[in-house]
Amino acid sequence: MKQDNLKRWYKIIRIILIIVPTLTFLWLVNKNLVPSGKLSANYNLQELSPFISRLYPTGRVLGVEKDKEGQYYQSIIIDPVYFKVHLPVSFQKAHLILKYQTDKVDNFRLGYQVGPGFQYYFKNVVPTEREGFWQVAEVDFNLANAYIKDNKSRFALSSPYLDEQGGEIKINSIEVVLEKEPLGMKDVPILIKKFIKKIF
Amino acid sequence: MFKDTEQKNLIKHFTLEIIDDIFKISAATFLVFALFELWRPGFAVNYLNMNMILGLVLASGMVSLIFKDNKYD
Repeated sequence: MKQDNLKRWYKIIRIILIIVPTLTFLWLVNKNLVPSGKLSANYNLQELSPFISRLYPTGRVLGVEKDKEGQYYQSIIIDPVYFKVHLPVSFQKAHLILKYQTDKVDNFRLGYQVGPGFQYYFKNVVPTEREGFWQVAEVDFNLANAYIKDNKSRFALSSPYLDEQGGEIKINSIEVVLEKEPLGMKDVPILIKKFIKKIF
Repeated sequence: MFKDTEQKNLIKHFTLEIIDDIFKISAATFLVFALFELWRPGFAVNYLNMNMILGLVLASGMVSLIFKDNKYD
């Protein structure tokens, strides 16, 4: 009897051991395909984001600091400064929300890479609201002609002559909302074909 | 007393079988995720800690190896 019980439990545990990684894999496929068509990512400087890189290069941006209110920020002292956004699939639009402060800054721009080298499409960063001491600006981009390398799109924060004017841009957070057409059942055969083509 | 020893051996054998299965399944899972990661960087590491799966593979593998001969007692 005891042996029969153990055999039954062994079968049940084995089934669970097979189901858990299978479901995890399907969850990962779902996360990477983004069937809803919308992916949001936020980098608040307190912890690393899997989708938004740190600001670089380190010589142009200071280390992460904390202000009196306990808000984390990073100061840009020389422009341009870059960050990369990981794109699990192709997206058509990017909506970026920047929380920042500026000091002695005439022109503050945000752009995305459209070709190799320093080929960027810039838009002016214009604040639309305030959150305490921080200004909030929203910038929209059409990613149709974005230059994507290793599933990453590079963005640049720029303010010409920033170092010469002794200016400073403090970044508190970067939020990115990526959009594409949601996936439907009709897209499944196309996805399977693409996957098989890539393998073989 | 003989029955107690027999039951203990049954449970021990059962536990070692489970640990062996955990090793095989976690190793296969790690391999599949790693292959997908090579194909599409960020596929798994953006959402999971692969080191935990690797730790499970190593721990279950070591236990399986240490108690390998005892399985057939």
